[in-house]
Amino acid sequence: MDNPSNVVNGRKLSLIAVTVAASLGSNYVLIGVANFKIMDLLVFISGFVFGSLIGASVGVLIWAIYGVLNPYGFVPQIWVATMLSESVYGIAGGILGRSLSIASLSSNKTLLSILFGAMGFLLTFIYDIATNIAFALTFNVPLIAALITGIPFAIIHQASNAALFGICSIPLLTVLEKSYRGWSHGVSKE
Amino acid sequence: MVFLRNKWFLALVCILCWAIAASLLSGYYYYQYTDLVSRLEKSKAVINLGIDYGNGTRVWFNGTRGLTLYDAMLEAGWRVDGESYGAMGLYVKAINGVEQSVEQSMYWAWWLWTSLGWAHGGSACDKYILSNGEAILWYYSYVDPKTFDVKPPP
Repeated sequence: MDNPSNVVNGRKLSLIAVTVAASLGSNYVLIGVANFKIMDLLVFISGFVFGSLIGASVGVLIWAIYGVLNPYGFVPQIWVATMLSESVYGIAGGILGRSLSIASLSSNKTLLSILFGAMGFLLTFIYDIATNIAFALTFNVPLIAALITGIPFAIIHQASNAALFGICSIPLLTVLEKSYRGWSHGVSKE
Repeated sequence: MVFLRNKWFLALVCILCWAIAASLLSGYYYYQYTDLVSRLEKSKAVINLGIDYGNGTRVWFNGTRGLTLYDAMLEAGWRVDGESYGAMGLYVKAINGVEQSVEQSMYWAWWLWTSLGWAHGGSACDKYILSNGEAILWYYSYVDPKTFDVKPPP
């Protein structure tokens, strides 16, 4: 008979793999749409469900692949910066996941949507600042100029993530909760 | 969860998001504005601007800068009084206190120096985009009330 902990770990691993694959697939599909990606949401959700460590690892893993096989080119410094910055979504998701339960997901949908939307906005703000600083340092561009010229893209990125996080987080978490019962972190705590 | 129970916390987070977005946008548009102003400043033409009061007094303001003729007039420190006709532009009625006179049929008009001599300005001063090195003269002169004929400056 299978060890239940092995089954849970197998399920966990397969969900992580699916999350990474879905993020990569969606990234390549949305390659023509500047600064609109569902990857950030998926990294956040994986952190929320599996904890900060796995969430951060998912973020790093996605960029480890997407940063190398990227139609826009490969720059090692930017690659490292995006890997590290992306992990912020997973870490924050894990921290938030510790204090939320499935009960609060179903009972405070509106407030939670607002909270998730705001989280999406703030985390993307941090991500954009970090990657713009990395860009400025890598290409020897004045920092202020890099930050200012990046604002239109940052606004689109932050607004789209705020909307995505706000609208999609709860349905995604609900589906994940149904497909993966028994995790020791995040939504099924109660 | 504590901060879900406290709606003020959520409101604070939303205000923080709004403040960041507003700051980013205002910073961006401020940069765009200052960049545009500095570009326009560089694209200002340098001209020789003159004024002839029709009584033998002619004063030149060489090296005056401006994007339009009206800009250059203000840059030269002139007091210009006129009436705006929207897309048609500004109709100048008085310069430096010298007003047009319908009774005497004396009006202000601007003239551009060309290789053939003085050519009458074809548009309102605020609609005319200056080019470097142009010589433009505002001339207060008699206009024939029947034919609207006007003599070029001497």
